[in-house]
Amino acid sequence: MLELGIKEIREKILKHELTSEQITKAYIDEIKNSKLNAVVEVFADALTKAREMDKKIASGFSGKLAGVPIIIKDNILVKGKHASAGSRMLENYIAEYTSTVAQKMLNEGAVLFARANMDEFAMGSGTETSYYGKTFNPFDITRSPGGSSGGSAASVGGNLCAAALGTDTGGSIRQPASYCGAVGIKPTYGRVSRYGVIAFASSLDQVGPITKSVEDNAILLEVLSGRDENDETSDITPVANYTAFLNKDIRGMKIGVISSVEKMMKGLDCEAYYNKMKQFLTKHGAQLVPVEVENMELALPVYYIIAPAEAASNLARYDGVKYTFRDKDARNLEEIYRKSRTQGFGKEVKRRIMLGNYVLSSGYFDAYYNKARSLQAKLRADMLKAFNNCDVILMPSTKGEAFKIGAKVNPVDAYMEDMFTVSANITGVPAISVPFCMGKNNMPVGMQFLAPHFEEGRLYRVADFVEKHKEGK
Amino acid sequence: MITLKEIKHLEDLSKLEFTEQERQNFLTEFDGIVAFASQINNAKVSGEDKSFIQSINMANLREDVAKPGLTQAEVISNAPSKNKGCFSVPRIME
Repeated sequence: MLELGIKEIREKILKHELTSEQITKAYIDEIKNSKLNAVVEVFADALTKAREMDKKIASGFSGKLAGVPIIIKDNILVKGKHASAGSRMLENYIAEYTSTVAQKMLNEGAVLFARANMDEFAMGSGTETSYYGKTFNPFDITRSPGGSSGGSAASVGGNLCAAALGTDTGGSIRQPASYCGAVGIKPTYGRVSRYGVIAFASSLDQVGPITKSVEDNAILLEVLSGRDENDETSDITPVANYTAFLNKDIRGMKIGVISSVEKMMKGLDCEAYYNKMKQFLTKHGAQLVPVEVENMELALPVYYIIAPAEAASNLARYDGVKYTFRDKDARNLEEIYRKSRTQGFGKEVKRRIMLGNYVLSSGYFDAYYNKARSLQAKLRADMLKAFNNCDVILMPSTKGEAFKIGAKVNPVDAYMEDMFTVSANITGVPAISVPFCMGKNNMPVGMQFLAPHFEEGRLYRVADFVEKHKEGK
Repeated sequence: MITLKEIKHLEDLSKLEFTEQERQNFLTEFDGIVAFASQINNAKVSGEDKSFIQSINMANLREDVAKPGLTQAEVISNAPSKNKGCFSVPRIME
């Protein structure tokens, strides 16, 4: 029963074939025996909450997530619970309020029973930079689950929960979903509230579901989405009924393919899987349409300027005064700042703070930050234009299968992991990674689709079709 | 090429401290990262509106009506040191 997803678990609970307590306990036992190090903490009140939910269901409650055990990433706040963003800096931090995404899930009856490991402050692509140690891939323990939502994706792929939440700033939902055989969506920027989510790069961060099926993903995104007055960047566009886009065919659908992206694939494993997907789509009546987005290969350097710049500002709040960690040896205020930050942050976080302050410092601001923002505007305009001629755009999610743990020694190598995912963050459009095939090392490989702003429904239509009709189905 | 002096300056700006060895490692790594970011230098862009914000349909600001927020005790609950409802730090004036 561990392999069940949101829809099936809810149905079984409502039909009294299963209780929330039973399934929550089964996952907790599985986590205890798991070698994946995907979960940082199972909440002490998990079974109490599940029992309370069983009672509520017995008295007629039937929320969209009634009784369903869901794991949240360690950067999402729930009042009274620890949230540490995988950092020593926040090891002892306890949330004083609940994030909007968690509250929305709780309102629909979810049992939020554990928090998942992640790269420190979501900075990484392998869940290797967490203060709590590395997470391992459920399909091959010698490989990375991807990151930064590697704990969430490994929990879903390894059947440690029904579904999980991740956050995606440059690919942190889609890349680990691809590596762990899960479905992951980065919604349109502004679709989901960021209130109560520990910030990395505020203009790029989005929360999204990582699930076992496209249908579960649609169900969960519908719960998470919508305007929130506590997040002024959350959008007023009405939330579509995402499940209405499922079980359709893709006949006549126009799938954009970008030649500059195809160039980026040369020599990479993903090229073969991508070509296989093109054949699959045409075989089923979709039409491939070449579209052009100039400078796609620059989305990654643009990202590695804008994201660290925002991170350097966002992480200035961790000063040894407000958030739990203070170096014991600091003797004056300046030392409290310096020593606490030096001891509290890990290597990659420090690297990005330094890089952010570099691109923001006088003399470099125009050459880097301003130039990057101009390129971002151009990429966004080109992307919108491309969607005049197609419904969705096809891209790989990742360069290939999950890499071996420890294989990325050079920071730039690690940054290249995001090469196909960052453009959606930079332009704000939604993108989904859906499992497509097994790669040459018998590891799962996902493919990515992008849609215009707020057209998540199109992504669910095509991803659902892929899931149901791909080889081996 | 980034210099050791620049690294030290960034360290000050970032309120971080590195050992000499870490600084040397950083110097090498940083050059690679900056070279990577510098790929954007060759791209031509002109007159793009970089003042755009990511959200498309932001609501009007909410009504300016006071409503309950976090209490003082809640706000300082995670402080490593507090005193009489305030964040507490060592004396800064002798």
